[in-house]
Amino acid sequence: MFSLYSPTIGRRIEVLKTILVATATAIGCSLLQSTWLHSIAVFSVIPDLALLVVVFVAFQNVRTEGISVGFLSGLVQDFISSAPLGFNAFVRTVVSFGFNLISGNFYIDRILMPVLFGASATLVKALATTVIAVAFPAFVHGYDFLDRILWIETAYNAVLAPVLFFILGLLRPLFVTARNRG
Amino acid sequence: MSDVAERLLARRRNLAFILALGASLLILLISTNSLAGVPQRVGLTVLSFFQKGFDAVGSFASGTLTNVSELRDLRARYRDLVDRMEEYRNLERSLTDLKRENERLRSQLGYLDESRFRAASARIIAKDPGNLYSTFVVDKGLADGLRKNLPVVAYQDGSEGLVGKVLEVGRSSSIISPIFDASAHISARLDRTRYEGLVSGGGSSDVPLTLKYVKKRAKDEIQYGDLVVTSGYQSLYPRDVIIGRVVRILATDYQTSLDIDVEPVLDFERLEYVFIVFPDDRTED
Repeated sequence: MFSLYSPTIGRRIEVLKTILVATATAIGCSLLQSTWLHSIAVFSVIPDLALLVVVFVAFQNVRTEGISVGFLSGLVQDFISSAPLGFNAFVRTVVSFGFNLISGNFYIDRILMPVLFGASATLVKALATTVIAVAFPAFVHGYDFLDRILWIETAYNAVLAPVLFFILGLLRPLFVTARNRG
Repeated sequence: MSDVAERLLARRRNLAFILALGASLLILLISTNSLAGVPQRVGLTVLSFFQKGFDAVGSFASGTLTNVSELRDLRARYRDLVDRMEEYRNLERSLTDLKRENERLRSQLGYLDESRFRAASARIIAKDPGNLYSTFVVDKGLADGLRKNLPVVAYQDGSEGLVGKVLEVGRSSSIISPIFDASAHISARLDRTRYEGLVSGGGSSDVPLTLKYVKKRAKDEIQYGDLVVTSGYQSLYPRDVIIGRVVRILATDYQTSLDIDVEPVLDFERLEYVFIVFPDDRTED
C-alpha cells in the first residue's frame, strides 16, 4: 500500500533537503565573495568559498547530490557575475563530478587532504574554464596559467579549505545524507 | 560628758561650720558678683557633654544613612554618565563619518552640477564573486532609466575619468564592466598630439591598459605622462573623457604601430560612486 512515509520518499526528501541546504550555503558564500571578501583580497584575488562547499558536498556524498549542488549554485552565481549564463554552472559541475568520482576512496583528515582538495579543485576549475574559453573565445576568457591570479587563488583556497571543511563537518547532517554518513 | 553627748556636740559643731562657711561663701560670691553666669556655664558644660554624645550618635547614624544614599545616587549617576559618554563617542564617530561622506558627496555633486553630461549617480555595492571578471554592481537599474552600454564615469581627486560601461541592467541594480576588463576596448586618442588608437584592458586593476595602433611616427612626439582621452568616434563613450596617462612606450621593429601602456587616472580600489552618463541629453555648449 502506498504510504507517504515510505523509506524511499523519506530518503528522497532527505536528499532534496541536503541539496537545498548545500546550495543555499554555496550561494551565501558567493554573496560573501562579491561583498565582504574583497576587503581581504590579495593582489585583488579573493578565495572561492562556494567552490570549496561544492567540493565538500561532492566528496562526502557518493551519489548525485554534489553535482546537483555544483550546477545549481553555479547557475545562481552566473546571475550576479558578468560571466555568460551557464559558465559557472559548467565549471562547478565538472569540479563536483571529479570529486564525486573519488568519493569514499580517501580518508579525509583535518588538514592535509583539505589543503590538497582546495588546491586541486582550483586547478580543475581553471582547466574547465580553459575548455570553455576555447569553445567560446568571443565570450569567455579563461585563466592564464602563467599569471599570478590563478596561483594566488589556488594558495588561498588551499589555506581556507581546512577551516571551511571543519565548519561544514560540524554541521555534517545538513550536508551529508544519512546513507552517506555511515 | 558621756560619749553620746560628745558625738552629738561634734555633729552639731560640724554642721554649723559647714553652714556658716557656705553662707559666708555665698555672701562673698553675691557681694563680689563672681557667680554671675556660673550656673549657666556649669549647666551648659554638663549638659552639652550629653548633648555632644547624643549628637555624635545621631550624626553617625544620619551620616551613614546619607552616605549610603549618596553612594547609591553616585553609582547611578556614574553609570548614566558612562552611558552618555559612550553615546557621545558613538555620535562623534558617526559625525566624523557623516562629515567625510558629506565632503565626498559635495565633491560628487559639484562634479554633477558642472558636468557637461546628464548623468545618474550610483554607488558600488558589490563586485564580481570570481577572479576572472572584474565587473562590479551598482545600485541603479531600469527603474532609474539605465540601459545597456551606457558609458560610466567617475570623479576622484578633482579629476573626471572613464570607468567603463553598463553591461547588464536589472530592475534596481546594474553590472558595470570597467575599462581594465580584458574584454574592454575603447576608441581613444592622445590628448596633446591627437594621435588615435585603441585602449584595451589588461584584466586587472593592477595591470596597465594598453593603447594600440598608434602610428609609429608618433614615438618622438609622445611623452610620458601624456593624457589619453576617449575619441568619441563611432563609440558609445563621449569624447574627451580622460582614460589615463602614458607610462611606457614600446616600439618593436616588426610592428608598424606602438604599444603604449596607460595607467588609469582613477584608482579603482578606492572607487565608491560612479556616474552613468546619458549621452543623448548632453548639456554641453
